[in-house]
Amino acid sequence: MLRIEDLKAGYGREVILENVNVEFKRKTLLLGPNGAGKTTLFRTICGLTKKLSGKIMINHTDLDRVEGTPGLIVANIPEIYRLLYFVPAYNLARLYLDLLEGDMGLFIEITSKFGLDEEFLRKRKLFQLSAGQLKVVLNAITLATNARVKLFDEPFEQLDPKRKDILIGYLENDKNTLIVSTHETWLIKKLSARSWDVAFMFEGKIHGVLPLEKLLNAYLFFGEKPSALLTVKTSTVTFSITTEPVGKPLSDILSLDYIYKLA
Amino acid sequence: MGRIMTRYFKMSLLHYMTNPYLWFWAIIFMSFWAAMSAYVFSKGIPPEYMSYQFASAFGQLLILCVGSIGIAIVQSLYYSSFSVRFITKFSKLDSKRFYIEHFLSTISALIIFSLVLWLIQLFFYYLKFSEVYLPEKPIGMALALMLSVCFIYVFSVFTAYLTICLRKPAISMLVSYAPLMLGFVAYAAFWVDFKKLSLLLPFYLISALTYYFYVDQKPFTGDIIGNIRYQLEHYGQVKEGAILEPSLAIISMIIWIIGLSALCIFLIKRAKGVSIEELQF
Repeated sequence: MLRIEDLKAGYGREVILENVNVEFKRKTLLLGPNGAGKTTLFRTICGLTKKLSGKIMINHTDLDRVEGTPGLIVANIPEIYRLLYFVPAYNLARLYLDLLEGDMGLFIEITSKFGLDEEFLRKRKLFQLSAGQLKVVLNAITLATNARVKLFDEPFEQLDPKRKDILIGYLENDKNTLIVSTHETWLIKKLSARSWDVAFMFEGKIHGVLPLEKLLNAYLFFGEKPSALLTVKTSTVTFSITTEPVGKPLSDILSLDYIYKLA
Repeated sequence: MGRIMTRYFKMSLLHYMTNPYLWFWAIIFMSFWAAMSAYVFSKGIPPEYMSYQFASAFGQLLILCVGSIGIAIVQSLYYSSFSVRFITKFSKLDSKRFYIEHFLSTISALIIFSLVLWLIQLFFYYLKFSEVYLPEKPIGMALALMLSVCFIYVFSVFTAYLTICLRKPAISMLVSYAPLMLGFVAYAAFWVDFKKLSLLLPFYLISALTYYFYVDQKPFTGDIIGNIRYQLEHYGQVKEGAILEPSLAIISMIIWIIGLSALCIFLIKRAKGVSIEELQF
């Protein structure tokens, strides 16, 4: 379980996240348009972006006090994997999975399923991979660890539909707390409704968390609805997620980036 | 080794050894000058003085070789700063282990590159003079080499973290070249007499100590060409105060290494894991 209390974070003087209070108890889909602050949230959880105030806890462990502790958290954020530059992707994965106490066999199995064989990874350095190949490698390292919390930042980007399905399979089979940030709402219909929650992120604030099964037949309505599951007010738009058949079916929107356009 | 060290040590060493830029600047480029010293700069030097020529050239090339690697150390610290912050918290490589393994792998790489350069220079001198010029004091040479690589390491780390603590990312690229640029202080010593100041110039002391242990002859405080000319004109006599005392040079190097190490610890703590990229926001 990942708990965030009164989190405030940003870059330099620019505050991106403010008053973030959320508890991720199980696998969660974090939906938000581009620029909502999803990556900044993940970077802050991982300690890459400085926290200005607040608390981040995994179970009862305050992440501020953690040092040299594998098995707590892992993420597919590229900056994490820049420890060494002139090392083939295979060796780099081996290094990280050794340090993070992961399973190299599982990593090879995953990358092979995505069409990247061991020989290829032994020849290419991380900076020599295409954006899609890099995403596969980072997703595979994250999946191959046994960390209690795994953060996937836009894991479906740059993947073709077949590979997206393979990745969904791995996400479904993982027993740990996964938080998957994306702006792609079609995932709602693809994931197992019983094991996933959904949270929304707009302008640095998190709204939710709701069980996914409640959103399967939800609609997006622009404006406020008293009976709505959730009402989100941003600086430019107010909308409600409701089970009443008004507005547009949520899963038909495809990407949350369209919200501003539809409004 | 595997039990004492994490895989990071091995991979970090591999990272240095497979860096094509390091091979070019620290070895191929320096080999060119090693060949020049054997074939061009040795003209007119009597054969009995060739070992001095060898030692002097090696001292110069060694500082430029490790200085080139110093650039890579600074830039890799900039590059990996985000990763280090994550990995020291959420992997078994805690901060203490990271810095120990980073130090050991970097020192190992510096020694390997230095030895490769030495072998190449031996090879060129053998081709030209059919003689293998080995050091007169091999243990002393090993000490000089250790002092050189330790100094370059702490100086590079100091440089990287100073940039971060000064919050001046704009100068990061320029500053990363400091280990090599300052290496030319040793080259300036051919014409400039640093006198007593020479004891405070670690970049000169590296080449001076290498020279001393290689030929078992005390080095000059600078103005090497002028001092050699004076010696020849005065039947082997040297100018007063022109000799650098090797024991003092060793003490000075040790003080520099300890002092810079203490400053590195202070700066690393002060940097609080801030990365160079973060300063650019």
